[in-house]
Amino acid sequence: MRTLSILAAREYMSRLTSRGFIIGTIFGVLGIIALSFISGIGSWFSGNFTTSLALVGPDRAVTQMLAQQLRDDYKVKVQPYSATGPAIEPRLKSDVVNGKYDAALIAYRNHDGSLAFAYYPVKSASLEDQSLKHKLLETVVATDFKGTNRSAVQRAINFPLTITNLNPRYKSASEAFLAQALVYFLLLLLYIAVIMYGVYVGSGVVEEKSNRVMEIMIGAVRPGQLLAGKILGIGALALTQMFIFGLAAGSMLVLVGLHLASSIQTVSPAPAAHTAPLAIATVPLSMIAFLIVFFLLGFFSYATLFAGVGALASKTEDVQTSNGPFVFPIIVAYMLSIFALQDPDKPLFVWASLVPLISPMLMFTRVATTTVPVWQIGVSIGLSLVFIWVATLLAAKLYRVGVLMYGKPLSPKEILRALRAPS
Amino acid sequence: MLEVNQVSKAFRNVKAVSELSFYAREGRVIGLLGPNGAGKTTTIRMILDILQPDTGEVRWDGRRVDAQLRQTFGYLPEERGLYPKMKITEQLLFFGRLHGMDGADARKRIAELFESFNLTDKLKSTPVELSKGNQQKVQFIAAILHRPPLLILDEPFSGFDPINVEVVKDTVRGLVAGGTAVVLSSHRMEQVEELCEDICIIDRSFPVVKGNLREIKQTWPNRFVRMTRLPNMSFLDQFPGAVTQPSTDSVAEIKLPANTVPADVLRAAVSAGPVDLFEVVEPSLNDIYLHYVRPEDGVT
Repeated sequence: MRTLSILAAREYMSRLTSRGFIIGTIFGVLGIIALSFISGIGSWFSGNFTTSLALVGPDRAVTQMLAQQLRDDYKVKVQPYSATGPAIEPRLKSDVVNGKYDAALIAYRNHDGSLAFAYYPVKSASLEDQSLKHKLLETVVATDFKGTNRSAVQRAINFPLTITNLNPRYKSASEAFLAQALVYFLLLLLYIAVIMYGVYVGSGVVEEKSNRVMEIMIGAVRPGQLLAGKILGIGALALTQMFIFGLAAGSMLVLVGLHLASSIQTVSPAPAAHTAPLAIATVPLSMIAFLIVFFLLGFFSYATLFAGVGALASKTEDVQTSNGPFVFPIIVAYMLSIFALQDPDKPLFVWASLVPLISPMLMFTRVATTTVPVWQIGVSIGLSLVFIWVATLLAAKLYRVGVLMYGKPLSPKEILRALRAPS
Repeated sequence: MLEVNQVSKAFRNVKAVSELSFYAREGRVIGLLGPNGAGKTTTIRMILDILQPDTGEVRWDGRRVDAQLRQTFGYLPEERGLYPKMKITEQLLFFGRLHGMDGADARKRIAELFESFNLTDKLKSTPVELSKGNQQKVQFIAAILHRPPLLILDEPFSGFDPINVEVVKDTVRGLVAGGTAVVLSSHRMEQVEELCEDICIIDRSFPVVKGNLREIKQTWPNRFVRMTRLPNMSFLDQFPGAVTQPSTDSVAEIKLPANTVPADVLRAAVSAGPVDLFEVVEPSLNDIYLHYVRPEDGVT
C-alpha cells in the first residue's frame, strides 16, 4: 500500500508540475471561456432559424397583433378558434408533439381581462424564450396598457407567461435545453479525457522502458504495483484537470447567467426566473456524480488496456500503432452516444449501454437524457468493474513479460503464452 | 548470506542458466563472470525475484527471496536510466522510499553520499543537465542509498573515468567492510580481481568454475614464470609444453604445464645465461577466464 502510494504520488506530482500539463490546462480553461462566449453568440444567431408556431388568440384583434409581432421571427400559423384559458387543445398538442409545429403559443384573457400566455415548445432554447417575451410584452403594452400609474406599468411588465415543454422527457423548457447541451458537452469531455489519459498511461510505460528507469524500478517493486501506481496517479491527475475545467466552466456559466439575468431584469423581472442562474442551480448533482463515476470506469477500462500495450512496445511510436484497435471501441461508444442523445431508449442503445468499454459513455448519455432502470445502471457498472478487474490481471501479466523486453515486439503467439502463464 | 541453489532457467527451449549454485557472504564480494549471453543478467534477475527459476531456489539468510525481502537489496542495473526531467535528489528520495526508507533518513543519506561523490553542487540538477559520469554516480547512489545488506552491481565501472572508478571501488570496499554482501558482474578483469574474494564463471548457461579466487589460483595446474629474456631461449625446448607468451623485450613470460617443476626451469635457465629476474607468478583472473570460457567459434 505504501509502495503504491509512493508510485502514484510520483506519477501525479511529476506530471502535475510538468510544463505540458500546465500549458494544457491553461489552454483548456481559455478554450472553455472562449467556448462560453461563442455559444452565447451562437444562440443569438439561432433566432434566425425560423420556428413554426401555432398561435391561438383570445380574439381577432389581439391574435392579429400577435401574428404581426411574431412574423419576423416565427412562421406563424393562426389556429381557427379562440382560447379561453392556458390549456392546449389535445389535437394541437399532438400536432406539436408530432412535429407539425415546433411550438404552440396560446394567448388568453385572465379573469381580470388582462392578457396572459402559455407557451408549449417541444424543444427549446431559453434564449429563444427571452426574445419571445420581448415580443409578447410589446403586444401586452399595445393592448392592455392603460394609464401611467406605477402599478399599471408593473402589472403590464409582469404579464403571466407559463412555459410547458411538451417533450415528456423534460419538466421544463430550460431543463430540456440544458440537458441536451450539457450531455453533449460532458460526453465530449468524457471522450477526450478517456482517450487522452488512457494514452498517457500507455506512453508513460514505454517512456520508463525506453529510458531504462524500469530496470531500477523492477528491482524494487512488483510489476503489478508499477502498473497500479501509474494508473492511479494518472487517474488522479485526470480528475484534477477535470475539476479545474469544471470549475472554469461552472464559473463561466454563472457569469454568463448573471449577465443575462441582469439584462432581462430591466425589462421583466418575473420571467427572468426561467433563465440561466436558475438553470445552473438545477444541474442535477446526480449528473455530475454519474459523470465522475463513468469517467473513472472508462478511464480504468482503457488505461489498463493501454498499459498492457505499452508494456509490449519498446518505442513510443510503436504504442500509437498498437493502440489503434483499442481506440476503436471508444469511437464506437462516442458515435452511439451521439445518436442516443436523440432516442436514448432504443433497444440497440439499451443493450449496448451494458457492454464494457462502450457503457461508460453510452450509459452516461442515457442516464443524463432519460430515466434508466436502476438494474441497467447496476449491470453496466458491474460489468465494467469485472472487465477492469480482468483487464488489470492480464495487463499485469503482460507487464511482467514485457517491461524488461526491448527490441523485437512479441508475436501474438508469445503474447498468448504470457497471458496463460501463471502469475 | 545469499544462497543460489541449483537454479535453472530456460526461455522457450533455450537454456539461460543451468544448475547454478553459489553463495554471496556478508563482507565479501563475489564476481559473477562470463561472456555476453552466458546468463549473468538472468541470474541477477532470479536473485531479485524478477524472474522465477524453473528449478532451484534463491535464499537470503535461509529465507526464500520474495518481494518484501528483495526490496531491501540494492541493484545497479547494467542498463542505466533515470527520469530525465525529475530533479536527481527527488528521484533518489523516491527510490529510497520505494526501498522502505523514511523521508528524513533518505534526505540525510543523500546529502552524505553526494558529498563523498563530489556532487554537492548538483543537488538541484536534473539528469539531462548532468554529464554521463555524474549520471552514473547518481545511479550508483540509488543502488546503495538504503544501506542494502546485499548489493548487486552489473558492470558498475562502465562509463566512469579512472578517478571515478577509484571512488566507486573505495565505496564498495567501505560497504564490504561494513558487512555488505556484494555480487559483482563485470568484464573488467582487473577490477574484479582487485575486489573479489570469490568468483563464479559461467559460460553458455553452465557454471564452469567457482570458488575462492586465491584457492583457484593456488591450485591452478599451470605455472607462469617471469624471467629475464635471454638472447637464446632454446633451453626451454627440454620442457615440452612450455609456451613463451607475448611479453616485453627484457622480460619473458612463460606458461609451464602442470608436471613441470619451476626449479628445474630455473636451473636450466641459469646455465643458459645470466638471469637477473626469475619469479613464479599466479595466473591472472584473465588467464583463468580465458582458460575456461570457450571462444565463440569454438563450439564443438
